[in-house]
Amino acid sequence: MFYEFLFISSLKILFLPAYYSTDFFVHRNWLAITSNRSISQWYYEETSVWTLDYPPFFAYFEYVLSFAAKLFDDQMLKVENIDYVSFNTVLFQRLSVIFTDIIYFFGVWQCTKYVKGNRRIHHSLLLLGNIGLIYVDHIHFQYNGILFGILLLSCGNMIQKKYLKSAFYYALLLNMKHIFIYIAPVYILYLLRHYCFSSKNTVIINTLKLGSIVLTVTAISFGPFIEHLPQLLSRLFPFKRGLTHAYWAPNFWAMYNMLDKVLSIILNVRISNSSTGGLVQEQFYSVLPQITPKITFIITTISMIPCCIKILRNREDSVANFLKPLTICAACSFMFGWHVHEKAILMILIPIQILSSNCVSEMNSSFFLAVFGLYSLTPLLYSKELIILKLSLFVLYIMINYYILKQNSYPKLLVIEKIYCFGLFLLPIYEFILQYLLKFDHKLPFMPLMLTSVYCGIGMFYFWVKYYFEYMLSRNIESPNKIK
Amino acid sequence: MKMSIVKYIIAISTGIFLRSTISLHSYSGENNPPMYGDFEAQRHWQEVTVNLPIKDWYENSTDNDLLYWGLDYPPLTAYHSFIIGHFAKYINESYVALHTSRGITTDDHKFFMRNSVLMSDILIYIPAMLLICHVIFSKLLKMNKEKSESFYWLFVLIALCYPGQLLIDNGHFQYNNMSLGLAALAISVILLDKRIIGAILFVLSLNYKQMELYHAVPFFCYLLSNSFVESDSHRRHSFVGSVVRLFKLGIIVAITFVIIWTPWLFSMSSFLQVLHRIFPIYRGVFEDKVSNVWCIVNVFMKIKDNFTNEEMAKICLGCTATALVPSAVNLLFNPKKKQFLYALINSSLAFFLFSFQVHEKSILIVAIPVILIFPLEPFMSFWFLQVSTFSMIPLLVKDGLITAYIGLSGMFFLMTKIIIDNTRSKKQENLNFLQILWNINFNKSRKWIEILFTGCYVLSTIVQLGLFLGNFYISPPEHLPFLHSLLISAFSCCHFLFFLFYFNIKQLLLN
Repeated sequence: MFYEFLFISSLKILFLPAYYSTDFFVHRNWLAITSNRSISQWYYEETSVWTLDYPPFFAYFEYVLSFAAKLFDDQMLKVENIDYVSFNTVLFQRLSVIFTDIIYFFGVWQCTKYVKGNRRIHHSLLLLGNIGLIYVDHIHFQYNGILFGILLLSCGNMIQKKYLKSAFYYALLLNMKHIFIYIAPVYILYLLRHYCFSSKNTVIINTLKLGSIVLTVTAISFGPFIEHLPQLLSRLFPFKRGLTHAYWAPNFWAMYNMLDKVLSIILNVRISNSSTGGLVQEQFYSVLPQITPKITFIITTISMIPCCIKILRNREDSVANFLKPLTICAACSFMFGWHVHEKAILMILIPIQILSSNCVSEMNSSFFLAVFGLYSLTPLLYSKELIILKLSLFVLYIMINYYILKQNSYPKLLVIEKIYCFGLFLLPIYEFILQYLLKFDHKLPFMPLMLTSVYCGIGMFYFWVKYYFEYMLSRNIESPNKIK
Repeated sequence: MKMSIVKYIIAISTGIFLRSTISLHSYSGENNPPMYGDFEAQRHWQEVTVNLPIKDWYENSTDNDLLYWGLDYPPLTAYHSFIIGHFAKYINESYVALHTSRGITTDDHKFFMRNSVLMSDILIYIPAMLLICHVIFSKLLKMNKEKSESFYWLFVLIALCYPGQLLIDNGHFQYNNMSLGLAALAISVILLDKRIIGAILFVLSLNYKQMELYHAVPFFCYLLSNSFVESDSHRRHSFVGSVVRLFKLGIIVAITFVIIWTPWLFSMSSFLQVLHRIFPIYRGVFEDKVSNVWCIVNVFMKIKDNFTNEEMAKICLGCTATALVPSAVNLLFNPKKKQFLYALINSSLAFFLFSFQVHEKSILIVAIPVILIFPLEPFMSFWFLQVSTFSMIPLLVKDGLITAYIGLSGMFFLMTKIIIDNTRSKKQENLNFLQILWNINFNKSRKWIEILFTGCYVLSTIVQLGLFLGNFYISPPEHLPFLHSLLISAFSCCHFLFFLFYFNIKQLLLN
């Protein structure tokens, strides 16, 4: 399995000269801040617009990296060098992502421990080579590999019933990137149900143990910033951003936006502020009611409630009983959350891939989700020299996925799902060929992106509803020795 | 969906994906005026062919300075440049504007040029490789695709992802995929007993790059002898019938040549000018560091001081011919298909090691038949492919393709290892992947031979790693600035000499 990891890593090296997004400068700036400013200044520093807005453990992580960065090029550690790029800077940043992916490898290792023989190799290849991570980390540039690695370490320990370890990793993760708070309800309820209240005698001790671990981790993380807590929190939770990103993540709001557009054209209402115009901070609907963060928060919470109740009612602590609600929770917040990034799809896809390596019956959903979920990430890589690259990589991965699942005679998709998957081909055909033939590229420049997010949004909605229902209707299977 | 279709899609998209990734890297002569590199040469040919009348393409004139990347490839390359040049003109006239387009370096232009290479990969090289893998595996070796399925797909992947070809065509920037793809097509058609189409395809390939002459001797011997004796059976044709067959073949080849060369056939001087451009005796025995014999000899005795270029050309011719004789004669008397494949390696390797004006990139011409022989000689073929990529390191360093080299070589090695490991049967449980590769064709060999060769391979890999790291971390002594390139060339040359010896022996011992 380690050779598979090395194999994928050597492919990642090839992306060294590829396009990178502004996240590259963000992370360079954080390296500079953490290495040059005193710890109390970290969350106040604002020479560059890319201020530090991740929780403290991530800042510590950058601080550690900055020592290695010195060996490559110490110019990148100057806070004033805002748009600094040199070959060594790129080399260092890219290599740091490739090397920290080793954590992801350990995570996959833990999560596939119970999978036997060749199937383990195959599924770990799928997970390690997840092209979503390749798009986002190794081309677009971010550190999701290490973050998901920690998530998988936590999941893997949960599967192996090492609850405290799992809680530790999850607390660590939350203190690296707070977006993972979306799945906190599952962790809290599952640990309460299966660890704290597993037997009546140990309720108090177990709760204390769990609480002390989580609090210790948080204390180490936030301790040094105790005096600057309000400033830190204001950095972590900015609510100034719009409901949807410049490119709409394929969720409920993408369809809502689309509906508004269509209605405004039908009813002939003047569009005052285009929501696809790029850097729009707040957006206005011409026909449909306005959406505020509060509304999205309420809808997200309500959508999670049935799933949470189900967690409490499930007696068996199995892989599926943990990972299924995890997936659903992540999907709910993806569907209805405020300012959701398209990258958040990985939070649904990776757990479900883990699940499908453990239970054969999950392969349908994991394949279906991979098809449109990964396609919805392709607009991230918009520069034209990446078009062939991203599409061929997408086809390659989906086909390998199909091939591997076929070894267990899956995926068995419904006819409508098959049609949907093949229909996906129309999107690149429109975007790269038809658009120019029909001369729509100047008249409707936002069309390809809008079609992509709406088409994938429909798939996501279908997936969410179907998966949620299946989970709610599934019988609570209990092993015989527990029913007495 | 049928599983074989899924696998073909996987193989093809792997090939395209890797090529498009290598396209992101730098090319030869990027931002390096005044001469730039092969990238500019190819672009300049488009400029010349689009703007000048055909008969002036190879002539020195005020509009065509032959000292600035004058055309020095045969007509088919010129025609290809002409076609791409017109596409370029359609997209943006400044790409091929006469004089003013020299050294153009914009991202859009790079994108266009990279895609033109990718297109010839998709249209010629990849289909040719898929065809020939199929022909060799199930037609020539009669191996069962279902039974040794993973092995077949490993073969296909090796053919499509061989790092050397990717690094030179999609990285350094050339269109070897055209000539190599045409040659591969010619070989596969000949293996299917379609002699005439095969001969035409080979003539096309030869007229794309004169370096395909490295393959010409086996083609000539095989087709000649095949006119008299049916290959792989001992059925002889009647003498008259044979002569007719030979005559037909000769006429077809001649006609193909004439068609391709028509524009230059009306005057002797223009014809000679093209030949003079294509075979540049004046350019010396080698450029830069090449892993061939003369480059090594040059260390001990400066060739330029002792011989004129003409003398040297004759010496090269003599040596090459001598090295060629055993395999050519053998093929002439045994026109068998397997012999043909081995002879292709032996002939091209002899040319590479001993002939005149060899480029380091020419090792690709040897690599193609070595890829084809993979099902017969997995161990040796794998070893050769690794060393051949390694031998181009000095060039890759110059082009800034080292990260691509590291990634691709790592990928290639690990891909082979992973696939072989996955196919291991119960009997092979204790063997490592090298031993499995070895045992595929030498399962009757003695144990000590196996240990000797796998040991040599491991040693060779370690030395390669050492030389590679030394190239970057140890600075050479001041009076020997090219020590690293020389060491790499000498080391690879030793390997190639060994492979020449080995493949000759194998060919001669073949029943």
